[in-house]
Amino acid sequence: MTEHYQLTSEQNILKETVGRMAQEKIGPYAAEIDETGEFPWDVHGQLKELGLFGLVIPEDYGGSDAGMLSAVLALEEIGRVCSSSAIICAAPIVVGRIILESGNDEQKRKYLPQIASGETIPAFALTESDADSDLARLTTKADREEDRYIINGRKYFIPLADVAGLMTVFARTGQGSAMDAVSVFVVERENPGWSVSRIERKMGTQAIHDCELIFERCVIPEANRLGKDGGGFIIAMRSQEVSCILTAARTIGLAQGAFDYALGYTQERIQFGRSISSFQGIQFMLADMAMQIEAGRYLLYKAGAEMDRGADEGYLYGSMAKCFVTDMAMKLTTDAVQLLGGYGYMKDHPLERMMRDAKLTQVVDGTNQSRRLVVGREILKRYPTTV
Amino acid sequence: MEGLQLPRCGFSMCNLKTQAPGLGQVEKLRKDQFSFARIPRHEGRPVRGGHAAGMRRELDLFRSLLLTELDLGRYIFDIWDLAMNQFSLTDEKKDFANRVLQLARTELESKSSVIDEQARYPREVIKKFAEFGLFGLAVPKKYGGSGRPLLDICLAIEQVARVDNSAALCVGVNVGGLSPILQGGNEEQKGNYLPRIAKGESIIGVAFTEPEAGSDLGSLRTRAVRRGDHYDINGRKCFISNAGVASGYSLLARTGPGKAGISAFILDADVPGLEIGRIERKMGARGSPTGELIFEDCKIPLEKRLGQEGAGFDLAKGMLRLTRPLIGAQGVGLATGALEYALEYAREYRERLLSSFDIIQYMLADMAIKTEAARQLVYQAASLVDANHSEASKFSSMVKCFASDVAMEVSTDAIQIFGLRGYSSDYPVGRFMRDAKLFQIYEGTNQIQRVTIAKALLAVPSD
Repeated sequence: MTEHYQLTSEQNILKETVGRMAQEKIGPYAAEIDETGEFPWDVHGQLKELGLFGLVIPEDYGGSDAGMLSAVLALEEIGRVCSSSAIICAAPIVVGRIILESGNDEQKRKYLPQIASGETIPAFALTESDADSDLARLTTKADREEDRYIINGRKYFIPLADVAGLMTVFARTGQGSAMDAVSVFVVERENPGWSVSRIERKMGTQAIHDCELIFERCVIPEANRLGKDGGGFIIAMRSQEVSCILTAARTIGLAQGAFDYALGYTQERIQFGRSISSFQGIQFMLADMAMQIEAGRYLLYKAGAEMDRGADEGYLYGSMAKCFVTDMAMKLTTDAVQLLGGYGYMKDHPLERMMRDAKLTQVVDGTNQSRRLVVGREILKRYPTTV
Repeated sequence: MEGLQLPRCGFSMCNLKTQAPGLGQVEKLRKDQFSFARIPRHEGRPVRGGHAAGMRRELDLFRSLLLTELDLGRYIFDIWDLAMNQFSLTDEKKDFANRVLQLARTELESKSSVIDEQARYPREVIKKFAEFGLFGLAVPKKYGGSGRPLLDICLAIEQVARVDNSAALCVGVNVGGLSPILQGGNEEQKGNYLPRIAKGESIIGVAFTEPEAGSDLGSLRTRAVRRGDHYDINGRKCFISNAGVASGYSLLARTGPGKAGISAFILDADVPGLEIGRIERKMGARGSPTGELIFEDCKIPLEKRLGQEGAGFDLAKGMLRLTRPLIGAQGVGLATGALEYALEYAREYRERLLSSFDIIQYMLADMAIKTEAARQLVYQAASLVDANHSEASKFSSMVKCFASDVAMEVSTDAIQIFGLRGYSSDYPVGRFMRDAKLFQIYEGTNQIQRVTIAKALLAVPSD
């Protein structure tokens, strides 16, 4: 009988391979890139070589079409050693999927292969200072002039924009409600009229620069619009689902990485003449951490599998997994620092970095509060339920 | 066929090279699609190729291995089935679970609160459950049961627990009670007891716990002294589920010192020297009786011993591996039931709650998230037990602990959403909370589960 509640062999192999690569090739850079805050081109090269940027892109466009659950597994393994590096891998998946779902043939042929191969780093530009993730308050405008659009406005907290070769930019193309007045454009590096005006100074994931962008008469040909004019709302929603799951994926890895480190430490650390892992107080902490990780992991895999089936369930489970996993990781990394005592606070050990990185995951992709509103709304809608 | 590639594993990155499987291996490959992972392999350069292409090439491979068309068809079906259902229940399972839910709702919804109030063992419901086949789920077909995997039993118990936890407990205890017979019994014992248990004619209990031996089974004191063709049992068992209503129990008693001195027996309820002591008055799960068994020179014939002398501890461990996921499932069911009541209430009184509806919605979301995480962990644990995976025991403990904690939290919050109404016995959420408390305690407290989990974690070097 087939075992539905397990990973398939190819998924296991994928996980194992990426895991080994991450431990060997990415892990050693993690502390350094956090320290210097520079984009890790070496890591990017490694990910590129493994073909990890094309995980959800079809073969015809140079990807491997491995599916969302496989992407989750890859990000989990990278997240175990370095959260910043996992973001580099997540961006092509989010943007790739947007283009795949909303782009026309020509756009797919033009953009997907370069994203899949890693030749171009894509970025996702939605957030604005007032709008945050609230599309209704988007102020960046794209005015139509014959066969082109002129974009004017500002975007905030756009990760990877400084190294990106192309960006999906959300802008208002009409006056009415956001539901039918927002459109999405692919802005390429060569397109004139946009610049990075500021790079945020932040708490964690230092190597991924969150950029403030200015668009001043940025001219985009009509051919760069994804989907129909005014069709951006759905695209934004769908992409948020994807990035939710991916954030949860790198965060479950983050939690696992922090846990593994703390577990190893408690076994080696001798106090009062015995290893601190022999104290029941410590054991209880370890047991709770392990349980929370496993529960989060399978909720996440469920979400990934649902998304692969293309079901509506993916949205609900993705939001659930994102809330559960990121809250869990915040608490877990805090406890992991605690298990190392004073050492945990020091940069010689990776846990303080992991704790800083964890905080981002609770606020990104719609805060966990706004995710909970989604979950609350969805379950109220679905009641009464059967199985 | 040197350097044969298995492209299915290579869809994204690994170019796998293996020895060509001999024809003997083909049978194994066909039976178990996961056996690919066990074929020795070494790394190669990344290759590209899609899921579909991988599957196509794999089918070519199988064709080249001379599989018959029937086998091939079955294999394609397996891959397809998996792709459609990964981390999801198959339609068959969903249908089964829905039928159990329907049964539980029909039989129990209207009377659960009365059963609880009167602390009455619901014989008529048990009879309906038996007719449905709920007591034969874990019994192999050979002995008149349906021989379902643990995952299915978890599903059934989850559905019953959504409605009534005493009744879910009755089903769960049955699995626990028959497990030592199934695992340690000889053909005669199995043939004698299992068909009656499967039909629901015999209700069976688990007689392990003693006043001084709760989570620490190793320190139990009830003695079994062999005298010719029988054992003399002396001692006392407490907190025994189904005490007084069961027609038999799986009993642990001491035949020698230490863990190796613990033996298992089938205890018929009508043997001389066995007396039912007091029946406990409890906070929750009141429809499932819990009581004392008192043994005074109670005589159990030799042929009622399960396995060898000293096999008791392992049989108990084997039972816990099964029953802990069941408690997890019960916790998930309880949490789901409590959440459903809270959702119903929130929708009905939306207007009245309006001023605080956001915060209610957050609470509902949190309840749903925790419940769902617990549910996925339960299915995972059950699936690992079914696959006899090396991590199964650890996951059993994890899931018992996690899901019961979730059940406690969610049911407590459900009352909070109802406000003072929730505290009244007119609404079922209070009963759910009282029932939930039991889960954190029985079959090894959640504290002892955490010790067990930590031991498992610390034994394996972290990678």
